[in-house]
Amino acid sequence: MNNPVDVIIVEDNELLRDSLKEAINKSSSIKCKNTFSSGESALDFISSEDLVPEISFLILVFPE
Amino acid sequence: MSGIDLIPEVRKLTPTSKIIILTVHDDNENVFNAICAGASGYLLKDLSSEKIVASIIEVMNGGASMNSHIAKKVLSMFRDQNVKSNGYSLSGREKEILSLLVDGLSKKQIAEKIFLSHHTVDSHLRNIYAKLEVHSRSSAISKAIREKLL
Repeated sequence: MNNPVDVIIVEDNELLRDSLKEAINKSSSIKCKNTFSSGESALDFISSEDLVPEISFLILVFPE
Repeated sequence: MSGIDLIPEVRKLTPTSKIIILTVHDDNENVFNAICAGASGYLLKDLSSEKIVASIIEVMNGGASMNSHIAKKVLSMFRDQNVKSNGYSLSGREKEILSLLVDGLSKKQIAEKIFLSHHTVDSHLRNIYAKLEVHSRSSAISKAIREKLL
């Protein structure tokens, strides 16, 4: 079985962020790796991560 | 930083990532900018969490995900873009007559200038109005200038 695809959520609304994280983690094919309330903090995280290029790193961007 | 501003920054750091925008904004400019910036999906916040998850999986499998409302909008934007790039399929004669209209000539003056009958000029004008989807001389002139059709 393939590893679940990592998803990052960037959303300033905490309620929406948490409910989406919960829904994502119910799926066996995707996993919420981290959540952020701002684009800047998400960028800091991505810059610091040692990403394996073959892994699709799916990112949801929500802030208005 | 808006979601759309974030897309190119993320793509610089991790070019293979797929990005989905989830937003309340469904105006053409935002949809167009997000797609041009490289978003693989554009969803509106009225979707349930389950549908959002299904959309993520769709994008993960190589699809492009968007609400049907947004998909219609995108198709319409491409259609409009195509119509504009084709200059509304105006014939050479119609462009010539439209150009004379923009120059301020009356129907009679146009007919005299290009050696056509008043009736034929009228017929060309009706076709021009239909193709431009306008109902008056002033609207046709305004559209021709605004959209640089000539």
